[in-house]
Amino acid sequence: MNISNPDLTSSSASSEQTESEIVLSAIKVKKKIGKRWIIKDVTFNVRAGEIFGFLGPNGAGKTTTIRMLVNLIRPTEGKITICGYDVTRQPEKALAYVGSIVENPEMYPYLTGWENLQHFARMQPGVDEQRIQEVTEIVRLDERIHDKVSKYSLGMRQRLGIAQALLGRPRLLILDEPTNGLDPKGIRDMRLFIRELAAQGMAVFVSSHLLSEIQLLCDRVAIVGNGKVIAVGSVNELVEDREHLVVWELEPTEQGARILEELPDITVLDLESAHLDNDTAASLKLNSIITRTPEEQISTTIQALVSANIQIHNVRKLNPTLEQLFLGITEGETIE
Amino acid sequence: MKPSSSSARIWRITSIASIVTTLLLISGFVYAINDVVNPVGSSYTAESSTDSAAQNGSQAAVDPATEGIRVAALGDSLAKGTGDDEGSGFVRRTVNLLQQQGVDAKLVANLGINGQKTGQVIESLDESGVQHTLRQANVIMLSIGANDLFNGGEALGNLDEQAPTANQLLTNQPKAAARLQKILDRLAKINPDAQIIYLGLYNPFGDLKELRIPGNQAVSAWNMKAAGITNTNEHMMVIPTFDLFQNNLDQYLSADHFHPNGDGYEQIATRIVQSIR
Amino acid sequence: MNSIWPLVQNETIKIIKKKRFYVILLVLLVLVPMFTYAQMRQAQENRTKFGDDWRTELQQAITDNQNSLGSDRVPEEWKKYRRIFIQQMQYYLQNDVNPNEPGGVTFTREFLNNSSSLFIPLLIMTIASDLVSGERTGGTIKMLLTRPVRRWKILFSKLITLTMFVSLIVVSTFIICYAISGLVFGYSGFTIPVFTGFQPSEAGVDMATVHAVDQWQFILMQMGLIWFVGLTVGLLAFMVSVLVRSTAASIVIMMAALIAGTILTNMASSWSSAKYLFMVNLGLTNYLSGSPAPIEGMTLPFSLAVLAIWAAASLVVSFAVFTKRDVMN
Repeated sequence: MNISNPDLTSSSASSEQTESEIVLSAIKVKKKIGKRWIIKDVTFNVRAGEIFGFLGPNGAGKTTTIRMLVNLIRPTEGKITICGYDVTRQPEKALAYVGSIVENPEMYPYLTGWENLQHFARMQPGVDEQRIQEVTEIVRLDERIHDKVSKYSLGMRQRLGIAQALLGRPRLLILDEPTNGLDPKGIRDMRLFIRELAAQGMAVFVSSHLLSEIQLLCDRVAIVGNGKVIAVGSVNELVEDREHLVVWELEPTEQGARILEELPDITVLDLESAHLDNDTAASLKLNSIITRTPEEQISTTIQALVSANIQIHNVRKLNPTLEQLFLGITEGETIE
Repeated sequence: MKPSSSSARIWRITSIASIVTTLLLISGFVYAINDVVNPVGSSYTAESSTDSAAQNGSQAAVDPATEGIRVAALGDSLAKGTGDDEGSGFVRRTVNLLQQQGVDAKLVANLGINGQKTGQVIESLDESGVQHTLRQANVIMLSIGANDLFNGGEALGNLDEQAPTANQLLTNQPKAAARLQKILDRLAKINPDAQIIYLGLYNPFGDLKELRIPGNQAVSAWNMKAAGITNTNEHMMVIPTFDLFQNNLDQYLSADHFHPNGDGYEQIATRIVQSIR
Repeated sequence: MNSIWPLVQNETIKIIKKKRFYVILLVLLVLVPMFTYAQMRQAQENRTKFGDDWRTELQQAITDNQNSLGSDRVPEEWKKYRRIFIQQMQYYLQNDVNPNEPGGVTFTREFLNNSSSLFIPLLIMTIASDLVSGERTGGTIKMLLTRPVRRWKILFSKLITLTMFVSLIVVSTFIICYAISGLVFGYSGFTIPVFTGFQPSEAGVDMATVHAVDQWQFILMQMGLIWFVGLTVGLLAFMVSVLVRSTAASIVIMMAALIAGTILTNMASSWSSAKYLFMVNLGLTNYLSGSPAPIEGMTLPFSLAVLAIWAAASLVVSFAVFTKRDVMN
């Protein structure tokens, strides 16, 4: 499954193979456009009841992959099945199990929310007015559902998009960057909502370029870069158990830094080699010292500093960035 | 009210309307193809109502006593007014002059066609439209014969036209004169009450040395014939133009050296007005 | 998804709610009164000239055309047109039938005759050009194509809807034209005889097959032929709409083709292979009224065949591309 880090994926695969049924499976999917292979190898399984993250930087091939999952783009090689049906060969069967939002939830602005739902309901067997009412209530759009979509806010459109995806009682929900453009409350609501759906047994496939998003939401994750799935595994294994960067604010700074350098298992990094994302880098003070410190060593390090009479103003763990994660997995290879 | 009713109504109305119209149009399409591909000729017979209307329309529509002067013109390029830089010709100018004098005059139609010869006019007199138009008038102006005589081609306006030889001028004349007789007779039959004004010929080749004499001879002979015909009918007259142009060719002829110019037509019109009043 | 009708229903509702069809009706409601007014002014002018005497008016028109036949400056193909016009008008006079009997019905017949090759195709384009590219411009194509429905079925439903609206547009044009011009010219005239079956021949017109039909029959035939023209143009616009991403671009492409057609019709008589282009074959109603074809050798079956081939080809292209193509954005 994984080219660069086989031990990691094999362990995760063995631990979950026995669990619930596979709803979505992509096997060695490749796509060539013109002379360029924009998707080189995408392989993963998504099971019922799990929230599956699809993590990668912009331009890694996330959207192209999602489009292949829902038959908007035909894979050049490989096979995608949904509930056992080949998406390319039997789209009318496979897609009956899928609800999706690809990129933005673009609905017909000149129709009302309700008319939009009716429109999509007519394209699916077994979806009646009652079901439309149900999904409207699920996404809490009942009050504005008879307004024209052109008058909706982005959040309302997002919710209408979800309602549309839920219409056919799908077993797989595919959401492309679902929290994009939402305010913090909207983001929180969306996460709760997705968890609820998964708890009911739905498989949810979520793409994102934000590691934090995936950490907070997903059970398992596939990490993509440059058209390849680099790693697949549980979020714990892949993301949480990485060593963390720790930032120290000490006084006197130079003395503190010297003590840190002398301690075993601790590396002091400069800004460049820390591969921080811009927001994190900007939040650092001038006297911050960035170190690579194993989690269990933090308390002993503090003791050492205190005993050396160093004042500790601040100690905090930095969440790993996506880039750091890539470095970890590929052991030094960069993303592009 | 159910929220979906507007969509449902749209669909119901549009679908029924479009199915009905589609069927209608398909039947029209099939009918059209059949009609064009397998046409069945049939002689059309007007219904009795249209028939009577036709008779009404073809009757003389004017009573000269009350209706003033109603002019129809027939014949060649002179009738049409070719050469007149204003495009009016003697017919329109005559009507205008009459109107200036306070006469209720009107041009019904001008059926003059460039290059027409006597034979073509005879044919056209069989056409119902021409007959009808002539019946609407109480003054019929005719200009014909120049093309027969001067052997003009189909388009007399052409500058590269070959001038006729003296011999041709003389040989063309008698047959053409016989046809003129026929035309005038027909006109009198079609509209017995109308005043028929025949425009006499002039010699447009008066300035060409070798054609001056034979041209004069042919034109004079022709005009004599015409006078001979018209004299027998009280409704007919000839308006002479020979004398008018004879010594004024450069003044009254247009650039093509054949047709009168505006001034020439004006002179003709003045004469006609004098003779009608 | 077994039935196609729910899909057709979707497309119909979208066209109506997007107000495309209303725009077409509005265009008709604005333009037809203008044409009616222009026609009314012309009728008034003729009345002051000729009184109520249509025969004299017609005879004068014949004479005017005969005069242009003699001129060397008039191109030969125009002369042919005029010769045919003269013969037809003489035929009308002979049978004492007024070809331009004033009335709402006659006006409608004339209007339909003139709108076959450009006006109605343009109206149809406003719907056809948007059918697929509108979904792409709005991004809704992603929603549409991720349903458990085969792509050809979606395209086919759009096609049925297009046919429905072509019919509606043709009939609406008739209704609006008749209703508005009737206000001015009166609503009678459905049973006035109109001659058809003029066969253009070497000498001018072959009168052997000429026969009279009631004006309503003539209009029915006109509309049937216009419907076919509209369908062909609709299918071509539909294909362009599949191929081109933006509605504006697809309208421009079709409009250029149609206008090129009207230009070519007026000047291509010496370029004879132009007759295989669809846009010079749109004037099907001319075969009814007996006007000569723009290019030697064109007949109704020929034009129908050319249009049908173009329509079929655009169908094949539309389906081939739409069912196979990746939807990238």
